[in-house]
Amino acid sequence: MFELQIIINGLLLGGLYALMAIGMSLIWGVTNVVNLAHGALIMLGAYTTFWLFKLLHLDPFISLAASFAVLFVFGFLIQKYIINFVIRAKMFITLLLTFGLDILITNVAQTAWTSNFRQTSPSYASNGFSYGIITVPYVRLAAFAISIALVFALYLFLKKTKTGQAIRAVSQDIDAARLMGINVANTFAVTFGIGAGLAGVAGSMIGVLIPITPHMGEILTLKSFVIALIGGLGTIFGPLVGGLFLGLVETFGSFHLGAKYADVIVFGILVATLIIKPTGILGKNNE
Amino acid sequence: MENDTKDKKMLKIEKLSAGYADTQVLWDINLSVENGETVALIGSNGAGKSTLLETVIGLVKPISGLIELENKPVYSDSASISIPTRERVKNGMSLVPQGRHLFPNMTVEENISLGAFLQNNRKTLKKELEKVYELFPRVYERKNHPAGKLSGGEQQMVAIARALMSKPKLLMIDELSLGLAPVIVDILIEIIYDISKTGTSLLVVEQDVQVALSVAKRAYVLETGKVVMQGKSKDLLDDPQIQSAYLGI
Repeated sequence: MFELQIIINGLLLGGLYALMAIGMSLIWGVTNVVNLAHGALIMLGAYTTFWLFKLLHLDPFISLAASFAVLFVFGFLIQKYIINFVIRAKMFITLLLTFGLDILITNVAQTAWTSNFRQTSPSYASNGFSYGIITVPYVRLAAFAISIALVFALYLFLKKTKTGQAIRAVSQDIDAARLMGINVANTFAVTFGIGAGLAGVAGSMIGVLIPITPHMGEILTLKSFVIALIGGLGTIFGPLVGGLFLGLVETFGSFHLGAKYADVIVFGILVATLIIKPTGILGKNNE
Repeated sequence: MENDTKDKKMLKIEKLSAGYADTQVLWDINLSVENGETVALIGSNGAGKSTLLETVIGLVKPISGLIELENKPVYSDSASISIPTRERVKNGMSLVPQGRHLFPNMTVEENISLGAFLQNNRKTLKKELEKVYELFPRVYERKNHPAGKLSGGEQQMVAIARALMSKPKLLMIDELSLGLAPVIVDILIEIIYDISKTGTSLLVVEQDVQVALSVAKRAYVLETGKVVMQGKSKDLLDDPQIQSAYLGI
């Protein structure tokens, strides 16, 4: 029965991981920027929800909409007025730039809000339901459901809307997208905005589950990176599979081997993926 | 102006120079396409034909010169005008790029629909789709296939169909027949005639001189980035230089 509880815990965590990583995967797949500030954006989402909860008593599952909006605008502006200027440069330059942004955002957050641990703790935070010895906390279940819903919403957005088609076109062939009359620079900015917005929503919900600090994003950037890669870049459901997979493996690993080995397992899987199937679980092999 | 509006030029290029980073590819190009005319651009590999079309549509930045669409500059170094590709498409230019550049992971219909990206009306989109499917029945049969899985000939048809969706006044095609079977080339030539009959002006880059001179009444010969010869197709076919250089006669 313990194993069943672990599976449930792993899947619930994995759904949130998927949401966390899908923004990074989207940005990477479309603009070819590996956004090392992704975790910092998640952190900003967590603080947005925390302050709205603390100051205005706004429920975290309501304020995640605000979190999306704030981070969308922030992401849009970063891409439009900073990253777009070096988008044609080698990947090393954009890596360096987003690394710098990560340090900047983290340190500004630390100066503004100190390094104190915070947590968004609504009254129902520790409630849940039990079935036999299985326990499911409501907040984890809600975070899971919202995450999965948003992954599917993103899929529909990319498939059905005009903006979504522009994003897909740009991700597949930039010159051809230009020839269709698509504004590539703006499409990049919107893509970054959506990726950042989703990171913000993930942060809002993570802040209910774990303590919030200005440095919480560092490990989350790494995990998003791993999920995006093992799921398969350039696929919409890759991060979903990668996130659930990582959630399961991490939960199993820390139960059976101890929490300190969880990261060893995570990055071990990354190395194994890169060796066995470099395009990720759902990624297509180049023909 | 001495020209009245009836024979206003569709495309006028004057003293155009262009290139990439530190390599100049085009030198003082003068070229024009009259309203409703089909013009061919021929020349060997590396002569600068593709660069010329890419410069006209705005993918490559010129160094100097003038490009006018219907007597309105889209690029002019003396007037410091350079409008982006999407504005040129909006104003009636369209390019079928070399190598087709379809969106490989999208269906044929999604590809073609993207050609109408700047048209905002869903109703007219349906109508336009029907029109191009009529022109390309083979494309219609394949409309739900991923574009990346089509044969070269089918891909070329999709690329032309997609370019037509923006209702261009000037359609530019980069390498109409390259790598395609003769049967397909014949079909494409027919389609070029059909497009031309609707009043659309065409500028076609073509390595196969015989194909080029059969679709166009007039042609330019490009060599190492310069126009070295121009004239009526039938005169060029009789030209001994052309015969020895391109026709192997």
